[in-house]
Amino acid sequence: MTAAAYRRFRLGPVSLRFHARRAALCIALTLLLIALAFAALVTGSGDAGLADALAFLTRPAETGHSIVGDIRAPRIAMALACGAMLGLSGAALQTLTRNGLADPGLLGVREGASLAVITLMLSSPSAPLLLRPLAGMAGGLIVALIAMVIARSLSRLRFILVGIGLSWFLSAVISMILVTADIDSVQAAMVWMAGSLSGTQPGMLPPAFACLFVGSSLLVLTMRSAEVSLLGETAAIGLGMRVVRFRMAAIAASVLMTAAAASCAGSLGFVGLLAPHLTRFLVGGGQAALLAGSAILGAGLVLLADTIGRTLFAPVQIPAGIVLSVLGVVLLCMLLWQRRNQI
Amino acid sequence: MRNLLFALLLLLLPVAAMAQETRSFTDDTGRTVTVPTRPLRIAALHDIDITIPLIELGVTPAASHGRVGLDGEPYLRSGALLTGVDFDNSGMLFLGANDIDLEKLVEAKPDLIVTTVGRPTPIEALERIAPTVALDAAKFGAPHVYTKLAALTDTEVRFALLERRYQSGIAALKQAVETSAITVSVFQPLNGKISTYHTYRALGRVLRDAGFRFPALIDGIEEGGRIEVSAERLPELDADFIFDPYRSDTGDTSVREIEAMEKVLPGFCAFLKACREGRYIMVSREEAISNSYAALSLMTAMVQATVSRRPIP
Repeated sequence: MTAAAYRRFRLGPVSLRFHARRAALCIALTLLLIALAFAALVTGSGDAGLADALAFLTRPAETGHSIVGDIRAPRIAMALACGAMLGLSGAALQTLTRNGLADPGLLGVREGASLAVITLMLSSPSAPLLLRPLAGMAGGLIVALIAMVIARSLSRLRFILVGIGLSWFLSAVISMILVTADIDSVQAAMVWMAGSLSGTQPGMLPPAFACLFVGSSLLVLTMRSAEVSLLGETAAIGLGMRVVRFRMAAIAASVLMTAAAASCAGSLGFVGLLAPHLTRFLVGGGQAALLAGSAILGAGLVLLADTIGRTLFAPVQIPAGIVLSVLGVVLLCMLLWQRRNQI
Repeated sequence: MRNLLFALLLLLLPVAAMAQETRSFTDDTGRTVTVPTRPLRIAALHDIDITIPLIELGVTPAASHGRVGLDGEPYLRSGALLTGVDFDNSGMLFLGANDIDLEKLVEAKPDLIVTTVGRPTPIEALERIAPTVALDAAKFGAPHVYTKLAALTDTEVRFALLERRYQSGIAALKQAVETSAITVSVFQPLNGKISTYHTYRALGRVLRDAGFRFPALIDGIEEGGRIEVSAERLPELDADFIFDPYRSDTGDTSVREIEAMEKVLPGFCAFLKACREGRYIMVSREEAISNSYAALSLMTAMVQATVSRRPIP
């Protein structure tokens, strides 16, 4: 790639160097995402359509309670936030481990969050919905801390192996709970585990977006270090990079965003794995493009899956996680076919 | 003519005012909800536990949870069988299967939503649409749910009639056989194990109300609870009469149920005296699992016919 492909944007003392084609692609993907979000806003089993969506977007204060404003918009916003968090988390973990198979389930954080939420749902079915994200995040963070304590370092392989072990252990505990609990009381947990956004409440959006903001900020701030870390640990230390600090930041961001996404929307597989690969395929480039693309494509994947799930067989609702699994397999096969000579 | 219209208006005003009247109601989660005194458009979010009891009480909900058949058509589980009412003949709006479609629910314009504790759709989402009451059928049982629904819909008189009819049936059963001298057991194969309840819905309630005795393993289950045991414990579930509810809503027959039991324990019949002596009774789960009074009547008659003394060949 020649230097001519890059442009410099300067605003006072701040300057930003970017790759013109990749920046254009990211903008195009963002516009597509906005179009998808608008399509989701006007689509549904209810009568609310284009006029209601335009009224909500242009005069939200005047529309009062509406299907678009009270049901569709919060759900779309949550799909975007969760998808972006999972995409970013997957990109960060793939960079950190230098392994394209890494995804947010790698460290057991998703399972930790799921276990905490399921325990809350079964032990206290009437607990306020807002407690779920808090419980989930606490569960995810505790599992990450346990992995750190057991591994005694953030050294790549040991920490990840401990995380994988914990992930399997927690999956077994979740399965045991679901198998042994009363069939009537586990229905809600089963639907939630399948990755459902139907329970989204407006009050859940601020913590989700706060986690997205904190997590993505950490990843953007450590973007250059992430680029250098891809050269290998020895080279990175030789170039003066603070490896431990970078790992701490990347893991903290991944843990926070994975736990937040899992506790708000349940288990949404494939997004963290696929979004970075789709970005590499569609956009290419370094960490900046990878993070931006993974966030946009992750958000798009979850939004598309949720919209299909809530409208295709309405009023029967298919959890987004199930639709994602179907979409994910198709996309993965397409990616494998495109790269068949490199694998 | 004008006077007549004015008189009609005066007559209608109190009715309209009554529809607007509200009162406080404490549901099974402990929430105090302001509900209409006479709800006119109820959305029922569980077919077996809420919709069918409401229909029996004489109130057809405006919208209901249901299931989707293999033909893609929605239905109320046991609805047509026990009440004759289903989505295709009642004008009830289908709201979805497991997860409720909130947009459809909004369009149903309910003035009261009745759900059960532990449903996938959270109460927070529902109470933004209409006053929402949550009942705990699994924990408190069907009589409690009927009592609460009758209070909510002002149908206590109808409820008293249903209860009287049921109690008369139980009295007739007790008169026909000495129930306390007979042991009974209800279980079914499930995922390679044997599933048994403390009280198996309508069938279990009839058996307990009539005074039959149960094996210690079943009596040891907490009220409202269910356990799964391995085939090794099958002899502990033996009794004078064993009832096995087979699933019929999916087109299955008792033959499939017996095959499932054979998978749990090949030659299971040899381990149970009741089975060896022809007292292993296959019952349609649609009636047995319902909470309705129609199912209770059917179960009472079935149990009475099954356990009554008959001529020995």
